[in-house]
Amino acid sequence: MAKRLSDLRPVYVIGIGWHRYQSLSDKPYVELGLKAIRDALSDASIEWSEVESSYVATARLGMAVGRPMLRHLGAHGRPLIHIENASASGSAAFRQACIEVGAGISDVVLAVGLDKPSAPVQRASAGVRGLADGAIVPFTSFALLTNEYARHNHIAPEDIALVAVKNHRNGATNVNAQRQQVRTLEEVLSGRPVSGTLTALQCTPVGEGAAAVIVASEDAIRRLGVDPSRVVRVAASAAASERGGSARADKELTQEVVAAVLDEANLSPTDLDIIELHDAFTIEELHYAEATGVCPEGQFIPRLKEGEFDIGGRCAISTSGGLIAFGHPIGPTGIGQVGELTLQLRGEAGVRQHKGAKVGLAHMVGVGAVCYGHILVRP
Amino acid sequence: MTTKTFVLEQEVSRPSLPLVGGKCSCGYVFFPMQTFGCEMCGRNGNELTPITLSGRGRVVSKAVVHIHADPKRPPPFAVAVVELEEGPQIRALLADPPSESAEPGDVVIARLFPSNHNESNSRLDVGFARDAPKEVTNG
Repeated sequence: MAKRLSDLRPVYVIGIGWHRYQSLSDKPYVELGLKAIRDALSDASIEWSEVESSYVATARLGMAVGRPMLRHLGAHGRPLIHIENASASGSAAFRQACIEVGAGISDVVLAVGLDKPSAPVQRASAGVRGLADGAIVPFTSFALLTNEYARHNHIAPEDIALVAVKNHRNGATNVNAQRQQVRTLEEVLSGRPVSGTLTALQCTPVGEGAAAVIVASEDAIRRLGVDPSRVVRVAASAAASERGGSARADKELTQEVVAAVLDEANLSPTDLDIIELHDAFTIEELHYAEATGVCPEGQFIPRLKEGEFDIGGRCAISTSGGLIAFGHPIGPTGIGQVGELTLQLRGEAGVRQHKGAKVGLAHMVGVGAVCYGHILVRP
Repeated sequence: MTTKTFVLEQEVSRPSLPLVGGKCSCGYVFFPMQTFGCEMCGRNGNELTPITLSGRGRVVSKAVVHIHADPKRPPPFAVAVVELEEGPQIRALLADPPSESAEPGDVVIARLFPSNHNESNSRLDVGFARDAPKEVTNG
């Protein structure tokens, strides 16, 4: 019978770090990654020599980019592996890192995500030509998925844009966010149309960055003298991919994965204090929030207007600014979500703190489609 | 014969471009035809046989693309998910410029159309347009 992460020995996030997400610069990817990793090591108060294995998440940098970076921390000969799962690369790397610690193969594992949009995304032909091949990039793919949702639920463009107002406001106080500016509704609506009725400020920007998370076992926490009051437990992890003949893959996948992690953690949607989800477009936040069960279908907008999803509301969504304001460099994104949840659950989020946060959900989808969910809890 | 005349002739003489889909021995119908394997049951090779689809369907969702890298298909253009009447849901181009193209809920038919309306020698692509009688304004 298959096991879940929670059947293995407990896994904890002990250190987090970032290189700010930003538009393409001249900085080599190595510099972005090293900053995030060193900050995570320092946050955990451990040495690089204690890290037993590394998962390097990247979708755009090309082959074998990990060691040229990791060697600068000290080339100790530990195993490393690269993880790619489109937008969900970072989430996938985090899951695998947790499984390695949970299974007892390692006590301390690094999950680092890094990317630079220096070259167009490449993919070999799958040998089956659809009618719109080449015309639909992942971006447009999500626009198609969410167009149907918006129409079906009669959501007005001005109301969807309120999600961007919230997320830009949250991102404005996140020093690692690509977009750190408060935006009015008028500013959001008046921008350049990018896809359908969605304007530029309602869509995730293109950018580079890095995020690192270190996970460890209880043994390692004790042995290395890690401060136990600052660790956060990974209570659940689930992953899935699109089924054949599925017309509503995005919603079904999210429902399935979120139901699985809530079940594993023995929680219900109303127990969630904070959610980081795949808000590449504003409409996606509505779509996935309803799919998680955090509010009934069709109720997101009225509750958003009442402040229910603000920092300080009943369930804070996208406290980091989300993909819209924090950004989506791809490799780092899922890992950066875990970092944000950790910050919040520790009570160290400063101005962005959602008070009393005890349970957080990280959700990502990726072209494929694939979907990941993780639940983090304050022990 | 110019591109424009050819397209108008298509419209008058054959209402919808048939599409070559596939059918698995398990019953699943899909588009386009391929023999790599059935995504419902995994059967491959000659368990998958070509089937002619009418090219008629209904638009499920639509997105207008404003930013695109390929110079042969300048934006704006519209893409859609179309549910063909035989069942498969496919991603496809919409044949008309975004302001005139089919909307979710519309019945559409497959036809050829120029990938670049501004170029007289443009490549022809397969896309979907509303299945409503159109006025033939010239030719």
